[in-house]
Amino acid sequence: MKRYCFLLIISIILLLIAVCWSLCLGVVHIPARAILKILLSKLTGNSSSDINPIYLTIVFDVRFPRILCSALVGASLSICGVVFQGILLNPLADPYTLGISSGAAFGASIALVLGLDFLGVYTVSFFAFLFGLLTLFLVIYLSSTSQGGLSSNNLILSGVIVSAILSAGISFCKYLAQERVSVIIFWLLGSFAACTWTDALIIFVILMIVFALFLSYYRELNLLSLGGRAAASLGINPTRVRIILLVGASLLTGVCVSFSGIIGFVGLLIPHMMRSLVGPDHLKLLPISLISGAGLLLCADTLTRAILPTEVPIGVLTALIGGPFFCYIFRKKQVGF
Amino acid sequence: MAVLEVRNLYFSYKETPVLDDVSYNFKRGVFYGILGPNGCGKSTFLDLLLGYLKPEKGEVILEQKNIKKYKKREIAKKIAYVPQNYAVNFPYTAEEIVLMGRYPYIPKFSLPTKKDYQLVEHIEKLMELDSLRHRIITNLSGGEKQRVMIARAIAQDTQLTLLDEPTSNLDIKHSLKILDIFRKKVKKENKTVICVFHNINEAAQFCDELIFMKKGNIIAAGCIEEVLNEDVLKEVFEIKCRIYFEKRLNCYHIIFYSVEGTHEDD
Repeated sequence: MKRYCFLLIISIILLLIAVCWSLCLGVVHIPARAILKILLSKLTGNSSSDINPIYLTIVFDVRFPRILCSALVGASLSICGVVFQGILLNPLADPYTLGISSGAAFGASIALVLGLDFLGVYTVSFFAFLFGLLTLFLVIYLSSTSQGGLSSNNLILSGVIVSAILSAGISFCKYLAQERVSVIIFWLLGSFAACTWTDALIIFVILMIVFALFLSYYRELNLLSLGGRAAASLGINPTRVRIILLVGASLLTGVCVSFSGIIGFVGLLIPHMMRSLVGPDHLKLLPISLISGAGLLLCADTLTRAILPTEVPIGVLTALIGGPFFCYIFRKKQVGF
Repeated sequence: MAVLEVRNLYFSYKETPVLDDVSYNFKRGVFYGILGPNGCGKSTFLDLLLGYLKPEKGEVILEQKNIKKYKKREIAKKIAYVPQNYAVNFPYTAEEIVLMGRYPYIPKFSLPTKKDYQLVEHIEKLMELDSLRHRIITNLSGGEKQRVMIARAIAQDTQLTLLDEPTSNLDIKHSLKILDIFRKKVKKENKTVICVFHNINEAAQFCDELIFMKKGNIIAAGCIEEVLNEDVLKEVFEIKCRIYFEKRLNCYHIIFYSVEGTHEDD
């Protein structure tokens, strides 16, 4: 437990450093001293006169919301990964295994093809979110048995089937969009470029609610790994627990996808690495995954925003870096240490 | 007075009855053994006893109250269960698994107390798991895993314990040790153990009452002296055997004839 607290504090400090560091970087390089001054003046409330107003605008209106959004989405995808893996009893499950992302992408594609805008800028997000949840309910419906059970294998199979159908649907939307197809493609690739303070606030609130829900279910998550029967004999209703947690995790995933597009591998990589660091106990695994997930996606986004010569879509970047890295640790596990 | 009572249980999988009109009373301070051929409904019977499956007809009464009316967590404080399948999907340490037996007692939003940890430590000593406590469960052998699962059920500290072939992967010494532990709990703490046995001799040595099942029915049940005889075993398992009484150990022992009938019939 002591070692765990140490690791958690270290990761929080690293995250804070990463936030400050990425505030400095960008097209306009802002010295760290100026960043600290701005942060200090905002925290204390008295605006000192020697702050460059351009820096203030860049830091506060452009970089900060984007940095916050990427960190919050990284945190969300990681804890959702932990929970999906815990429910599906499969260390290779991630927020996308059940087809929730495909559902969200399909919803967004429809909104983009039809040019819907009854909710203003949030129309596409709303459609993504709605279809993500509808997909979840379809998957749950397909996999539940007459006894009212909900097995992990059934969930994964149904997720794969539904994903396949939805992918075809997305392709059809792209086909229908013809010359406007680029809009859909860019949306699907994901980006934090247009994030605002409002977006960050919405993600933050939902993340905190869902995180509290997950933490309060840490024992149930641990028990599920003993299998349904044994878990039930230790005082939980496996099916109800699975549904509550699935809805919570899908809600959060849906929100993330609707703001940032599809960003893979974070939800797979972080829980995997953290599990080998602190063990599978969800009481420990959830908080540290939250922090390190935030750090990872923040760094990835800073890399594409400020360091690479041209901006690579964040979804592509995480897959390009995360994929091979995941192959490496997976292979290392097969051949032993 | 019965601590667990089943009345006219009926359960089927897709129209095929698995349990058909089963009734029995389980009392405190008795070690029960359930015996029967493969697929006779033993495991389903345990599932119904612990409220994991709901009977289509009939009822299960736990301490004078229908099991349907209990919350899951209340049942978990009264009935512990060790399943036949004890696969664990994530690399928990053995100690973390044993601690899971304490979960029904830990309120939401709280952590295990010092008392929980002390109990876990005590049980690890009892089960000779000291050397395994920090080992990863997925790296343990089948028998070691099974002992960890049994320790978890003991940590649950319940009146009733349901065991589904608890010794299937254990060597002879650990089998005897574990059955001794449960026997002691039954006799000294007035607990109830209901155990599905594969090995009839083990059942004959440790149980007070035996329940013989076949095709979803109870064929014979009662004290060992009354029900353990060659005719019952012949009817249930379709085998021939001889039963001896071992005076020094004060228990019955069964020798089986080969099914092919190459032995001479007396």
